[in-house]
Amino acid sequence: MSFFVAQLLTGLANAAALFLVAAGLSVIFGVTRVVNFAHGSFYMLGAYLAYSLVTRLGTGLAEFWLAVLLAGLAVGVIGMVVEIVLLRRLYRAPELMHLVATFAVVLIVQDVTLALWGPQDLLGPRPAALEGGIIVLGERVPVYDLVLIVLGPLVLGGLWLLLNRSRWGILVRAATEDREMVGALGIDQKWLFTSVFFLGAFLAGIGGAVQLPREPANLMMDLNIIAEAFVVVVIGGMGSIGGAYLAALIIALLHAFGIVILPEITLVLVFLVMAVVLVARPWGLLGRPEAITSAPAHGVGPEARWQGRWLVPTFAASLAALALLPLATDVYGLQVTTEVLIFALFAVSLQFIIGVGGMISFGHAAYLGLGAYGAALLVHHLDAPMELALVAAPIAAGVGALVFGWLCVRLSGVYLAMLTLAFAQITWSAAFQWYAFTGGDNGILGIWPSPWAADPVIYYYVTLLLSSAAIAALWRARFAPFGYALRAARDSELRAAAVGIDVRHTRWLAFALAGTAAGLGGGLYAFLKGSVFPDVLAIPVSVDGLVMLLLGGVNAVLGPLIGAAAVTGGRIALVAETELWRAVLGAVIVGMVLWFPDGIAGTVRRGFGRGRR
Amino acid sequence: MLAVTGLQAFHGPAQALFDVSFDAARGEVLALLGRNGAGKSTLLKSIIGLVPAKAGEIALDGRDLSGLAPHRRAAAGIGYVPEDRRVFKGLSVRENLAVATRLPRAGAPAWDEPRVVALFPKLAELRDRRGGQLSGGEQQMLTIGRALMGNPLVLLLDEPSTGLAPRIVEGLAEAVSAMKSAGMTVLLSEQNLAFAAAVADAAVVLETGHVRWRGSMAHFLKDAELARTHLEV
Repeated sequence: MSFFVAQLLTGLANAAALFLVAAGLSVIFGVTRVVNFAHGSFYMLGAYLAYSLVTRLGTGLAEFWLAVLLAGLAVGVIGMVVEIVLLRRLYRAPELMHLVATFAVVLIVQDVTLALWGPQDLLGPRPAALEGGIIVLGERVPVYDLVLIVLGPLVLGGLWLLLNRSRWGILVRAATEDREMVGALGIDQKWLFTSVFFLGAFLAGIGGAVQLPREPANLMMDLNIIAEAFVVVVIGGMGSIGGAYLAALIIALLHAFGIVILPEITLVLVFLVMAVVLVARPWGLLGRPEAITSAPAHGVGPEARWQGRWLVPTFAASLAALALLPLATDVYGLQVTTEVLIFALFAVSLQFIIGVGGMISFGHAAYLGLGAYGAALLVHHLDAPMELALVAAPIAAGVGALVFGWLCVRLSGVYLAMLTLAFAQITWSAAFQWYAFTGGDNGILGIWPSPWAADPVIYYYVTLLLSSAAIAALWRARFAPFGYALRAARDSELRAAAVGIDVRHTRWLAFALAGTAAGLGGGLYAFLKGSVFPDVLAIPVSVDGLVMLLLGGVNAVLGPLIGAAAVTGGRIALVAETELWRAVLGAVIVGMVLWFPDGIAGTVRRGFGRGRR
Repeated sequence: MLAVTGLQAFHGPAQALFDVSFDAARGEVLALLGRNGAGKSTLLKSIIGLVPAKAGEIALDGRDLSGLAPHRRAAAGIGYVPEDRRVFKGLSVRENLAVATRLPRAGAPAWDEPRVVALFPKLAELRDRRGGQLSGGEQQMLTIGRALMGNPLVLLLDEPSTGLAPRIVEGLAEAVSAMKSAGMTVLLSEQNLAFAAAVADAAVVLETGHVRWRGSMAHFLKDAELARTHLEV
């Protein structure tokens, strides 16, 4: 009994920070329709700023709360700056742009934080008055946990009052429903949006600051919390503050109890809860269902018209050039090209979901990773040969995509994006935590190709053959009736359904197909590197895929190939060149999103079009 | 009060308004007549700025509004009542009214919640009801009242009678007449000729984006041929 109480209270205390972050995320999304990936970064900055403030101001009770408040305000101002400089110019852009642009902020904040505070974890001192514990039902509970337990409902109540009893809150709620009409009634949305960003970032900053005495500020806080916050928002219902609180409680309690029973089971539990909620109420526990609009939900750019005439010759010529490449470059160059080929397959498979299918996936790395781990685990545990492992890789990823996809295709738009990210993060956590099976962050080493393919030149040809075959297969599917059905569903779900297309089923198949193809890439990747680490499943890999698409043009047929070459090559060069490669990459993404939203291919095509006219 | 000159507007690649010009005098109710798809709604939307105009001028009390964002036009004195009403469904009636609240301006009738409620007494008992729970007629009262709360110089009413019972439409006509006698300038887009006839002083007839006829409402009603050529399907 006392154990139960202790875990219950720990869970409730954990829920506080999670709720603050999720509430901010939810409010920002409600009004601006931006899914702010950088929200975890605001949380992280809150913790680091609070650390600096507390160590300077002292650990008296008043000083501590002053530090928390100041940290929140500072983060709020940072949020405003991000909104004014970056997002204000992107509100009309597709959701994909918002996610990628705010992820660029994540990268920049990571490097800035590293530069300012260093790589070591920083545990903030707890205010002296909140030291110690109280005995509750025979268990000693830290006083600070009790404070956090009270803080959650206090903030919930405060937000409710703000949203329901102030003119600002009325405007926010009106804008959440119909921001165009709010503008037509004379309200300047710009400043409304900026103030909403301030509030959201402020809440995240407070969340990070109050978490400091319990958990040291560290550089992994941002992506860890954002994945959980996405889960909370999807379960609770986008835009619902009460839902965010309820879902934060559920998730935090699942973690608190799961961790003592069996840590690995927690992930499964979270997944199951999400599955049950989304099947029963796709719009979340306390959210409101959004009407399906007959207009395309997310602009994905002009449809590629470049189907038959140029595609095949260009592809054949590229293949011929790639086949001759070993004559012209050294082993290092070949290995880089092999990696580019793998990521080209990854990017084409992602395009199949996003560009052709109209489903924004933010967790495509899951399928690359499932393929890589599927192959590596088979080799590691069963001594399987490369040939068998390369067959198993796409199967493993395909099965994963079937399971996750079954839930994902029930949602659309940003909900779908957040769900895919959550699934990728669950897979990542499994690989990261399950030491006995996956080796955790030590990875799995010694995954080498069979002797006949050990020569980098041979392995290059193996990769070239398999990747190009898979890419060709995806293109074939894209320009087959199946692909047309998929595109019809993307452009108008209702109309597609009305002409007899089973939209959900079509999307599910597409999801599984793309996952399978990515899994093949993952298998190839494992044997190229000779090892697998959880990094291959992590969010940055998913985002790399999106950047490849954006660079190449979301719908340009050859776009992913150009994007994969540019991103993979660029990253290898960047990492070799500078310590601050994240910040540079982030800055490049921001520049691209702001000035070349059509990508390389799109910009070139537009240039040509202008020349011809 | 409101002068539109040479307005051109597009729906995507298709031109919806061709060189539209007219003006409405202070305190006048100007009816915008025409068949479905004639461009009436587009014209109102381009006056408030929801549809961007490619060319032309929109002047409110001598001040050029073209190129301004919708919220600046609303602040300058355009009140917009959309065809599909667009009440905020999750907000109460009072909150809906509060969204648009703006201080009264010189030279125009002053509106506040009590005066809006006096115009639409039904709203009094619905004050705390959510917008989504109102009937069509109640929503129409609310959306007109909401636009009035911004103390506009000109009120744009887009097909207020659509889908409403005749008795409700009568009430609306009385309300429009009351606004007129309070000095409000109204631009009323309407398919229901009887409704327009009851309230309007003058009429502009649109057909496929062109102005086909301008004149007094009385003249339009007297000449049966006019209605036949321009309105009958």
